[in-house]
Amino acid sequence: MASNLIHRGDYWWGSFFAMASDCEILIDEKEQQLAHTILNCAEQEVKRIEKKYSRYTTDNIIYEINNANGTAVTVDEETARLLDYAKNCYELSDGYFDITSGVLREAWKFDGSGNIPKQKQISDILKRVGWDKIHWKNPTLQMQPGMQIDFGGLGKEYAADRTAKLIREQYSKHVLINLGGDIIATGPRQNNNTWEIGLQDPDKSGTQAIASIALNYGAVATSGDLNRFLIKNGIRYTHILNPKTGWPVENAPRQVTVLADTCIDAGMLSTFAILQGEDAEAFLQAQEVEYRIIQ
Amino acid sequence: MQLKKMKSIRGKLALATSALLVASPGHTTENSDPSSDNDSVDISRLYYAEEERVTVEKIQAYITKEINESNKVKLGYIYDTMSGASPNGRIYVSSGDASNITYTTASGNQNTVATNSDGSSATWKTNFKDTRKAYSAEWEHAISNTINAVASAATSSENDYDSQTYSGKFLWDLNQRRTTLTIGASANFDTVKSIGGIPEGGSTISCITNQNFAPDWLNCDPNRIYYKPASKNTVDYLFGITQVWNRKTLMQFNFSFSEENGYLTDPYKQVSVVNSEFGGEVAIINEKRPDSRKTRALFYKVVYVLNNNIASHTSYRLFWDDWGVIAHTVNQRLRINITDRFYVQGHGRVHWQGAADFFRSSIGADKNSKYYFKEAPQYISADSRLGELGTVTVGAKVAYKINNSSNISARAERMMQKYNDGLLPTMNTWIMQVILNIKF
Repeated sequence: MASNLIHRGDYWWGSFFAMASDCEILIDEKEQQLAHTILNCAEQEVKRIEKKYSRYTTDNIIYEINNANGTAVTVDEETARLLDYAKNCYELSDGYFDITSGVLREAWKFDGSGNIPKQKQISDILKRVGWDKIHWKNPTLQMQPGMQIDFGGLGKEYAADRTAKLIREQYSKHVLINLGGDIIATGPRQNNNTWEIGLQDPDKSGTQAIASIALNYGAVATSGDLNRFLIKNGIRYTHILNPKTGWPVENAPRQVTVLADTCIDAGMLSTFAILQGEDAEAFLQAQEVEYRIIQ
Repeated sequence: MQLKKMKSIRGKLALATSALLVASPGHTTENSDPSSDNDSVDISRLYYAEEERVTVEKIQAYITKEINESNKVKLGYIYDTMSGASPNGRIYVSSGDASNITYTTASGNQNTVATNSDGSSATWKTNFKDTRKAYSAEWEHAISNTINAVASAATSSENDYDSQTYSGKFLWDLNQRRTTLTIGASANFDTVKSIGGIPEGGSTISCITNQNFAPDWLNCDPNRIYYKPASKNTVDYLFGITQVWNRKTLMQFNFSFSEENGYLTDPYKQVSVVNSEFGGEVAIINEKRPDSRKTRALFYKVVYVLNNNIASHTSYRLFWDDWGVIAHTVNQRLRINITDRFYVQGHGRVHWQGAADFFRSSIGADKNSKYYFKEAPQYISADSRLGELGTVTVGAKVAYKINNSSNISARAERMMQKYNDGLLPTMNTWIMQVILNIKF
């Protein structure tokens, strides 16, 4: 495996690359052998989930579903749980979080080019967007040809939680898992120190932190347009699209960070907040969670 | 900046997440089953059998319906069939001359001497057969994001007993929902309408014809019986705090107190008056309890999640009242998830209770008797439930998730109760229950 393990002070720092992100794991353990085993466990689980749910391969369940051409697909139990979860999120967000909205990427290219699609093109694509157009009854999923689902909006968070769960079950050592900014700590450090997490400044790429969060256990996730946006005629378009209109969410904060018990809760709450546009902060206040918001 | 008022979805999201990540067991208290957050029907059948005593068969059905975001109702129906024989407090003296007693019964029920199968001792028991129907309604309302109110009413009736209960409580979430404060009160109105009338506490049921052996204070006139229903009222108050201590530990602490007033005597319980010179029972009187009772209870519970598949629930309860009863109960449950769909749970419980101040297994009529009363006792009861006793319960439960919307579970428990007073035999009880839960 292409992983890296380095001793840093009183813990081991392991890293690998998966899910198009730099992934790291901080292991509160002195022994190298055990740290190495834990790192391997984490890497295997993250890569298992990536392989199973990546939309860039042709031999997984996502490919099978997206290429079923209108026929019903029977899914395994883990996928069924993710679909149930996606359905819950669709309902809880009043339709703003929708795993079928990925096809809008056909029109929107957040490559810095400044190309804004035509309304006609968006309207055509929207006919193929909407969880409510899908027939999902565990364990079978059926959708019209041309529709697609992807778990990109929750994959890293899910992988972080799953990995934390595995490590909690198998090892007594606490770790901090960071999958490209989606972070979870399984418990406090041995010397009762907290894990320190830096928040990146959206205006400055690089490693400079503008604030830090101390974490004993629990998770942190951030949503926003840190590096992915589009500017045309002075208007800044975030990469988070409103699946109801097909257009980027307006007046959304640039970055929302949420603390919660699980990474997926934190990720969903931060995503839901951005989807609320200018009401993001009101939404977060109603949830009574700890959050950081950058307008 | 004026912020819009928005609804909280965090709780529902966390629920969805725990289903996704296959929830850790035991993160909830026994009374807050997360499945009740959905619309559901629960049907259960319970069988309770005290060996050589009372058998109860209970059918329960509950329906839970979420009306909208902030309102939920739960309706319940219970149907019980009770039959068997219950010790009535009167002792059986094998050498005594029970046949000399002119025996009348106030309850209209048949009294029999029942010898236990091991032949160790015998007790007088009252045979009975009764059915009870109970209805309940509960309304849960979210006042705000962090405050919930629950109001409920219940009514039940059987041949000789009616009961109405009204209760309300507030649950207040604090500290990012890691702390919940509970404050509640309930009022209970009961009517006792024993068949044949309600006896006055302490009145004589029957008396030996040769009154030389009866105590001087005993009024042998058996006609002191009220032929009207009696009532009692109870008010309960509860204060509780539930704290999520950390990811693995949850603690609960409750303090409750209650005041009962009215006819607290059990119309079916009797006390033998025994004369050792005569060598047996010389009279039977109705028991008599004070007309008020103040009870207090402290409850402490720790739920500890060992890992995602094993959770432990440990609780201790201290109970005391102004009748002199004090009781300690330790309860332990251990849940083990075998697969995502199947779990087993072991249960052990140890309970010890001290006797009420006025508990005596019999009344002595002569100075040589163990429980000699020179004057009429102010209060007296020989009800074994007010005596010193110890109980050990062991049990197991299995639960299986049939599919996403239905669960079935079954439990069996063996309860062994031993009384300090040698006249009372050990009581063994089987409890069995099957529960079906369907979400819709």
